[in-house]
Amino acid sequence: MATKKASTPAKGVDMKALAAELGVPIKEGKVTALRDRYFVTIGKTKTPVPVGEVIDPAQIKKLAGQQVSVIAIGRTIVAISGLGWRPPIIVCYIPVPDFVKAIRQDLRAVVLKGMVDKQIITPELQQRLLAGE
Amino acid sequence: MTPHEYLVVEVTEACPHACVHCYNYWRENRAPVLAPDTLSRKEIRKLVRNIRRTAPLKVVALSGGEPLLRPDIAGICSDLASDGLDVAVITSGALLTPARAARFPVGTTFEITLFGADAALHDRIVGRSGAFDRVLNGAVSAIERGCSLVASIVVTRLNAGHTRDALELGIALGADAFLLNRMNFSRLTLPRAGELGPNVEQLRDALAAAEAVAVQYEASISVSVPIPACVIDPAPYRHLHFGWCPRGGAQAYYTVSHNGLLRPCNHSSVVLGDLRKTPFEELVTGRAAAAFWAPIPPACSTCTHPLRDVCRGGCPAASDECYGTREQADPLVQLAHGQSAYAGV
Repeated sequence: MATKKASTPAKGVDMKALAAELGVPIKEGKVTALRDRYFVTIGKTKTPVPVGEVIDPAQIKKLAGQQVSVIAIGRTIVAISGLGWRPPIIVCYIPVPDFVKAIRQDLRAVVLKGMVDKQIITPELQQRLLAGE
Repeated sequence: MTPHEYLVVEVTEACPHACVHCYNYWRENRAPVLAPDTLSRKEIRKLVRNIRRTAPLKVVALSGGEPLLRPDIAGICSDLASDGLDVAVITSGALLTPARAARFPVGTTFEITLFGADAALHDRIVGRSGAFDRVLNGAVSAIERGCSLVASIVVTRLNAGHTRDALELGIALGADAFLLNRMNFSRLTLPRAGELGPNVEQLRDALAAAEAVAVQYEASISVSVPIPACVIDPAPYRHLHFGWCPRGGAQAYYTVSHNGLLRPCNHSSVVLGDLRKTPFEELVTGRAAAAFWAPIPPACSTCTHPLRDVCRGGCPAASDECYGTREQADPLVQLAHGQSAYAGV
């Protein structure tokens, strides 16, 4: 099994098509940053941008201070121009090699000892685990 | 050619456990380990080789039922591994003794299910006393053999508060990947949803616990069974990988029943065709497959959540199994709050 973490390229958004589909106008706004949080201000309304699963923090950081086109419905930011939308990695039910990442041995040893202390894992199983590493 | 890299093969319908959350449509049956129409080891190898003529398979997951009930399961793994595939065995782990583990190819991945670190709770959920101790022994046997361990944490109402314990138990046992699967509903479990299904608050707590574990141990945790974005927004859980239904796309995992019938996924009872008679490519590009994946619940059409184009109502197979239609959103949506919070904005 591979041990690398999945990396997916950011995908741009067709602002015109999305706005037409949702039946809402494209507005102009400004991106601002406050520590690790990001906002888009449209007119006098300042709205937080959902950074994380969908929006790459590194990308929006580059847009801080800039004017952008925005699609918003109410206080929900749907899309921002110049900002790639990270397509979420799709996986369900089966283990995918890209997600395999070994836990650091020192951290694991502490957890294992804790499980033995709580009598959840027996000392015999602990010995077998340590021998199997 | 088709783009599919993953395949699930259910090598038997039989299972010694009676998990409260089991979604398998045959769970009420007492299926034999090897029914007269069950694919033989030789047939499984041939069938997978045939699929690889038109699909770039990388991973084959052997599931069930309980795959370790088959006496030839290690041989099936060896066949597939020697054909260059990554093999994962999705199992309770309870039947994996050191002697049995020694027959599997080194590097086989075992995906075992954990519900917490409480033996009594584990045994209650799987309906078999002594199961917890056997599962721990099975996990250790896999590690001793030099195999990979993936811990799958199923979150039900009974164990939602034990998510951290379950993940830490997986870490202690040597797991290097984790699936956090909320209970997914079927027509057999939906009537007991109030008793067994986690509510939104419990799911949030479970996700928060998993997020904390992911940060503390740099653990790779996939929230695999979709949680529709209108039920819980995944944005706050930045260290978890959220999964969505691939809907027949490149990352779909079409599922082969024990008898060679092809289904859209493990959760669905819909049969697309018989792989003993019809090529894989023809079945996954055919009308039945297209019709299965096409419907998007009308309630989702006005969703404004940024994830709407990948969420598309959650698990279509669960809707189909529970309501007989994929025009409705995942049962979790209705159970959570009646309708999508993002619909109709």
